[in-house]
Amino acid sequence: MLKVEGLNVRYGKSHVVFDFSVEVEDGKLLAVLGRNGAGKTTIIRGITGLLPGASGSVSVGGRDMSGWPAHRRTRGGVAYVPSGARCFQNLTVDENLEIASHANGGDRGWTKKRVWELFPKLEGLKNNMAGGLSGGERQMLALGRALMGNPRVMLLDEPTEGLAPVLVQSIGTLLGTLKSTGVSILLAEQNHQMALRVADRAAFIEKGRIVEVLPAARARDSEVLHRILGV
Amino acid sequence: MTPGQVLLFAVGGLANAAYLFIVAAGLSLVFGALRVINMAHGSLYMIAAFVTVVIGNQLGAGLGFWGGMLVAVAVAGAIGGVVEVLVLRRVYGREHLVQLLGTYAVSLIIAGAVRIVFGANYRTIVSPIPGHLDLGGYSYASYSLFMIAAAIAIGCAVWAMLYRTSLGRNIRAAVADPDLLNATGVNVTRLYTTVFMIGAALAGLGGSIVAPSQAVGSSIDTDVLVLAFAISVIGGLGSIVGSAVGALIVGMVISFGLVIPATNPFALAFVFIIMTAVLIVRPRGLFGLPES
Amino acid sequence: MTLVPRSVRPLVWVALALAVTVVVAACGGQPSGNQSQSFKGTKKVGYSAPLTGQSALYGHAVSQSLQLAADDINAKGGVNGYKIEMDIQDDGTTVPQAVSNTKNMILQDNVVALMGSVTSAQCLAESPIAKQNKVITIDATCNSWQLTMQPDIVNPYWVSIVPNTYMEGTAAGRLAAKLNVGKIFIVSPKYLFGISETNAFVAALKKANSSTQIVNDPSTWYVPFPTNPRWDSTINAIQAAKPDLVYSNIFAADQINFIKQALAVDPQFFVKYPMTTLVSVDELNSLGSQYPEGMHAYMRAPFFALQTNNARLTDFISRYRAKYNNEYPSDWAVMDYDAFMLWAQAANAAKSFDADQVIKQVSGHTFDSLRGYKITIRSDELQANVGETTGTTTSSGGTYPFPVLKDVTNLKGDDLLMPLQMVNEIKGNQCDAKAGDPTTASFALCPSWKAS
Ligand SMILES: Nc1ncnc2c1ncn2[C@@H]1O[C@H](COP(=O)(O)OP(=O)(O)OP(=O)(O)O)[C@@H](O)[C@H]1O
Ligand SMILES: [Mg+2]
Repeated sequence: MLKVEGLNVRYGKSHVVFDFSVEVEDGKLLAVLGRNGAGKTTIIRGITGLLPGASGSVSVGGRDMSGWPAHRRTRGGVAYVPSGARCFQNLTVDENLEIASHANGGDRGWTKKRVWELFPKLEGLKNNMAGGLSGGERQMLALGRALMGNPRVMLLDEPTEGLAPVLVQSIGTLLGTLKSTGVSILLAEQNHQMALRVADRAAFIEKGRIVEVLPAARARDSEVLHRILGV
Repeated sequence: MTPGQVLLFAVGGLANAAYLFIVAAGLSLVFGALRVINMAHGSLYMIAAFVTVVIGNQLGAGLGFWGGMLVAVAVAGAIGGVVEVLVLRRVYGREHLVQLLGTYAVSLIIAGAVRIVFGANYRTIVSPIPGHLDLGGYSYASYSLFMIAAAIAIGCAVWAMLYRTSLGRNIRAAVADPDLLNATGVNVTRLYTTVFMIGAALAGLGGSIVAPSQAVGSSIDTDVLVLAFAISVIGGLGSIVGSAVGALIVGMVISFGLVIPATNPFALAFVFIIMTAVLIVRPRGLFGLPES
Repeated sequence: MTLVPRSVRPLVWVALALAVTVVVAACGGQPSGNQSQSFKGTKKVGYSAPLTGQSALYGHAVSQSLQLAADDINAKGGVNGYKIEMDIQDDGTTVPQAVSNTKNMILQDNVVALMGSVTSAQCLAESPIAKQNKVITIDATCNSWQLTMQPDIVNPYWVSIVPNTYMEGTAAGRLAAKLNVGKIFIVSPKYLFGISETNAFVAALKKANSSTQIVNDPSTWYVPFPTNPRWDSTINAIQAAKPDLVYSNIFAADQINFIKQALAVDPQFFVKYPMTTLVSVDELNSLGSQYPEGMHAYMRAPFFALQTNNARLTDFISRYRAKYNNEYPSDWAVMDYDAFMLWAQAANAAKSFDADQVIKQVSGHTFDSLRGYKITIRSDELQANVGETTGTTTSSGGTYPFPVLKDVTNLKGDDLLMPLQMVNEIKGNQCDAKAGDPTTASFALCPSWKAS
């Protein structure tokens, strides 16, 4: 379970995220929705421990990780899939996966073999440089890399950005499968339809603050969705 | 020029290249991984040369050299660790000018300390590999051949470290995206310290290897830095292969350039002409990666 | 705009503070001075010293010697009633730093005299500054004859008490000629000193023994200075040329590196290819027992060859060693002690620090030298008739931790000085010379030389 309490993030003097507090139970998915610039990415990066200007507490499965550096949080089970399908471009596909494998939560036991099974296309490309992959392939690789760390919590920043509908579909399916293995997922998305299809709840963000948290079913045609996302 | 003489000058050029490469390898590694131009590289090299000579002579000239080398590499690596933690951490990601100033300050401190500890006199240690090889009427110093072999070994070792170990994989990943690497579970702060210590240890190894062939004095830090930077610029800062190629070009140009009457007056200038030409045509150097 | 970003400033300050501490500590603190003396005040004498860089070895010895000289003078009441303080600034053996040191010492520290720097390149740059500001320079190290004679360089306040390149090259040429060999290979640093001295060597050699052939092309005589510490190219060129004798005037770190690397190629290198070379106690001391025996050396002021029946020098050696860690005074230490004392004596005689007044007490006057003889400053070009010592390196049999010379000849300065007629031809611009290039001006292009 991921528990975030009173997360505040500042970039220098500008205060960007205000008192963000959520809980995501094991096997549940929280969609974080908001306009461009609302603060979704900042919230996620604040949870990863990558931002020096973040304060507040973060715990995973009851273990308090506040104050931990990013790499420890990752090893403690927090996987981050940044937006833009970021990969180590100068490393091979194979190395991109290898680099993330540190045995953690052995029961879920992700291996390269399982990633190849999940994304068969990647196996054929394993000796290619990640920089040469297509956007879709890179997104698969980014997801595969996150899984190699055997996460208990996954933080995904717009994983469907720029992908073809088929791929969006299969990523949705994958997230469903991951939930069923007990992973807590926090998903920032512009594609609210896809997000709300797999989400259990949705948090709406405006100017760095949560304005409302709704169960996914009610969020779908809520007033706040229309107001905030203009749909 | 007879074929025997061509061989003689070619081996001379190789020895020169080996000397430059041994010094530049660590410089290149550090720049490649940390994007920091380490002005204190020559200082670490100098400290190691002194330590090698002093400890080596203490242990008994000749074989004592190897003991001196061990201590010297450890000392250089340890100083590198301290410098990374105290200085470099504060300048990563800043403009190169800030980094130059920071590491230059370190080099001044080390230069001063070396003068206090070791004095102004040149020190020497006899070669641990005496003897020479006679071939076609000319003699070749065994130690020069050893230096050539050592340069090749160091080049291969650094390459293998970068491309065949998980440490090297992490270093390459850090070059591309240190943030992502951090979020992938790697302690990038510690990785940087490790890389800098390896770079420092390589500087130390260079100083040790060079010590028996030179007068070790308190200015060898700057003697070597100019040419080491020249080869790094030609080959591409940050590329080990580039450093090797750069060293070969410079070594050969100097060796042949100086003995041919027509080119003698321009031999050294030619090194810098090549450097300038490379900068104009390919600013990142022959094998360098563009800065992101 | 700030040049140094704020966050770096602490670092820079720490570095500066440490550097200052280091330099102060390295200078060994200030001498306590003689408390019973009362001085009218303090005056400074400047020396831009290569405490680092290619010639650090020399700068170290000279600085120590000048400090000792200043202490000695102050113990005797100073100069014109003033306490003299040495103002020694490191120039890293570079020309730009020597220039900026000289300006600092003259304009900020108001030095009353300067001691000449180590390399001729530095002196060439310092001389016009000293001349313009009317500060006397007593030079005991850089020795290109151009400094005191060539019209566009001459400085009326520049006094040389070191055998100049003409004198030294002549001594070396005669030494080599005596060996009567067939083939000579030349290696020399590519700047004013090397070119000037090599020209003199070749001229003297040709004059004394015309059958000798120089095997390497003149364009390969010179190596870049300061140079790459690897000497493969020169060593291999010698192997390829197989000369009977190598003539060199490379010095300090260059000579040590060259010798070490040549011996690694072949321990018999200098047996196969004996060498006539400029040497000082510093190179001998640095290489110690590794310094090859049988080298035909010419030296400017080796204490071991000059100390017999020379009480002043013996006393100097023991005081220098007592003060400085048992080090032996090098040629540079001996000559710069002379330089300082000569200036002090002349300034006292002039009862003034004014350069014109002091020069009057130098030009044509005679002084005692630590070298064991009297030296006279010839007024035509303010050059002292100092001698040169030649000999062959040999083990000192344990007396010193380095080799000394056997078959020593202490050549007399008067036998080496450039003939007056030639001096005047040079000063009068009567010699052919490539205009605008001091390094190509050769006395061998003077009418009197051509005639002889
Ligand atoms: N490094 C930074 N320095 C200063 N301000 C920043 C920085 N990164 C983001 N911001 C600001 O913080 C606010 C939140 O940005 P953030 O990237 O978190 O939004 P987002 O919701 O992820 O937007 P998008 O949907 O476009 O990705 C924005 O106003 C942005 O301008
Ligand atoms: Mg975003």
